[in-house]
Amino acid sequence: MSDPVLRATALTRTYHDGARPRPALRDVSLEVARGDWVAVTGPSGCGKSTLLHLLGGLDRPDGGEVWLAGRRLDDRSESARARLRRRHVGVVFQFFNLVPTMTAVGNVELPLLLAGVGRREARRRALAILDELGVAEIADATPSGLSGGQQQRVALARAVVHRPDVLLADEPTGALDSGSAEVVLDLLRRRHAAGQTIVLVTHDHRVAAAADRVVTMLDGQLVDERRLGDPARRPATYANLLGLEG
Amino acid sequence: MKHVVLGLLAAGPAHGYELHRRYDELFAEAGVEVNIGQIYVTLGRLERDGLVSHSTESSGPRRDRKVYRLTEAGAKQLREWVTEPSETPLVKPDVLLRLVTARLAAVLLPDLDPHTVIADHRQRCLEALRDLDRQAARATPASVGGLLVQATALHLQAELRWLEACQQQLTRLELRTSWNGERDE
Repeated sequence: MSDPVLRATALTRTYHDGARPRPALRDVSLEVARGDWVAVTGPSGCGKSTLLHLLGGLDRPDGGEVWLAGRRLDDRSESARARLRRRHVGVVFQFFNLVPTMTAVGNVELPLLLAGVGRREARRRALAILDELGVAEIADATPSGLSGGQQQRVALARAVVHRPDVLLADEPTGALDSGSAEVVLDLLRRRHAAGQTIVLVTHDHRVAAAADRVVTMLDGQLVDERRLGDPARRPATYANLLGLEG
Repeated sequence: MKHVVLGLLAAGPAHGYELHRRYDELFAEAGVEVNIGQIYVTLGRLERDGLVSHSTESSGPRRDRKVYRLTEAGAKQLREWVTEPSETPLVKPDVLLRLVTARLAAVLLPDLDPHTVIADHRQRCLEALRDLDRQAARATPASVGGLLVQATALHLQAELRWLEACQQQLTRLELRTSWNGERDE
């Protein structure tokens, strides 16, 4: 088996933002193989967002290590982590985090421009991915003129335009109505089918059910980990549900 | 079955074969198969009870066919059934009983872990949800089958949310029993 694309060992993180230190993560280890889709679930405050931030180098652990695409991430400076992240990671947030003064296509080509891709090539690739995600027609709109579902599709385009090793997503459907959530979930399914490694945090069980592996956290600890298969037995048949037999 | 056949006849008089066709159009996608024999058996019972009646229709070279219609009593019965209160979905305590039992047996069977009971059940619910989502993708929107898929998916999601609450409260769950109380004193 090849090396995991993302590996976290014995992560701890304590916040010192109140009167007392608040442990957010306690000894959490996780390995993600290339092409895998891992969903992290658990009640709010269980530490799942903290874990995601550490995996993406958005924050640093107090203890433990994070390895991304064969490189250690956690012991680098903020700017060095940002460089690694730009190259290997795409991030989708619950509230989209698009740059409000830029158009949709401007937002999407940003990671490419930062990575040194030429303007024309960046524009071409940004338009191509917007088209792929079904939002080509809003390329020139600014975020304030877009619905939540549209903004999240633009954010997803921005996150995957540079073909990252890992796509990280923090409650990607959390701020969407059910129809838009369905569309975003379907796009995630398609990216994954095309080989994208995904780690996402969600309390939406439909999103979790789409993943290959589901990791459950409670009080800052990883308490369970399952690989989902096909159900051994189909859920109750509709005949039973309708009570129509006999 | 009885009320379904009454309902199908409420849409207008029909012979058995036509009823079977109406039935398939509405329910086949929901995966509920009924054969023509069941339709005729049901019609026979309904007629015996005075809820439907039939007249014989001869249609050209084909043999005579029985065309069924609702009687007044049948229409009354149908109205009564539709306006009767539906069952409210009450939770089956199955997994909760296993959880409590695992706690009761903590000393006798220390390898029984209530958290595993929850995690196993969660996995089954997630897999069922995953399977349903695939079926939902194939179901026609706004069909009987589509609505059933939605109902089941929402119930599974409710169960999964409840399991989270169980997991959070499990460690704090005190089994207050008289025998424990006495022993503590």
